Amino acid sequence: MSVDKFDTCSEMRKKFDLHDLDSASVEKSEVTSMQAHFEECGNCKNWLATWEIVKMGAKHIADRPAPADMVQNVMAKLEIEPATTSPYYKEIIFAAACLVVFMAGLAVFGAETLAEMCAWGISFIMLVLAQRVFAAMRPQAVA
Amino acid sequence: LQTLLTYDDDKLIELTLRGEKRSYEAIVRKYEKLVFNVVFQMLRDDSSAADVTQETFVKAYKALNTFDRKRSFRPWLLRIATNGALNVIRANKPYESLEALLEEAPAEEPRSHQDVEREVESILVGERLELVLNAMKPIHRHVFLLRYQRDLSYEEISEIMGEPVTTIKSLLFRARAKVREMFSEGEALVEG
Repeated sequence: MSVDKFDTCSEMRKKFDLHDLDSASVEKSEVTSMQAHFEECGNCKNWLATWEIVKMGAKHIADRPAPADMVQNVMAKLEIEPATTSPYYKEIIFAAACLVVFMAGLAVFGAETLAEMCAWGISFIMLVLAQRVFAAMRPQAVA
Repeated sequence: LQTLLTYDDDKLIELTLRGEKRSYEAIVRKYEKLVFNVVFQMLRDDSSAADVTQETFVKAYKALNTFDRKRSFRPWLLRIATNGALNVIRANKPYESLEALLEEAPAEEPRSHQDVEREVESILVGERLELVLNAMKPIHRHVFLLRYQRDLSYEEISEIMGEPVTTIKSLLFRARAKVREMFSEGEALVEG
């Protein structure tokens, strides 16, 4: 094989690789001519065939079985360490949003005295806490 | 549980968030093999892979309310698993940067006559490919397998690795070149 021929093959293989990674990187007509070259050139034909085998081979790598006690271990761990994922997270977000709105309201309309503002704030916080306590007391739907 | 196993990820996540732990058990059953094998391919150790897999599911459960349900669950889960495996790699060599560790090829073991014979006699491509992959850098092996064994898209791999798609393509380009080169060497060995 001449040096020129080798350069062409190597260049085409590189380009075809890029096309395989990103089909938009190479013109369609160029892909067709590269494919025609690969069909004609004995070396490139083998190169392409080997690559196809390798890609297929990846799918034939046997998966190992996961440890038999994996599910039990995970579930046991979740029992011991209760999730921070609260089923009532929506309520918490709602309560936080209410607090923001309340504080904004106070800022806009103002309160007569500081004591009045504190009284309103404390009563609101107690309301939110009560709501949270009642929410936590609700039975959880665990199977 | 059999009924739960027929549900899609979104439904199972919704039920889990409502407090139905059995739905999460279905998620664990559905993905345990995938997560374990992806982690194993990074660590090449059964026991560590089992620990990381277990931690992955626990972390995923705790963070489930932060998961954006408009997105796909699998890459999100695999990202947690990948980070867990990277932490183990880092913990084993705390004084080296993660980049250096990921670029480090496993030490080549001296090949005995039997090893060479085994390689030569190996007729299954998957088996031979696995030998080739074992000698590759962990990051290249990981990207290669996510793409060609798991059929994940570049976008999904990018999400899992936390790297832009262009980086993934470039990693994959290098991984492919390496696989080809090493695989061809094996072919030559078989033919010779």
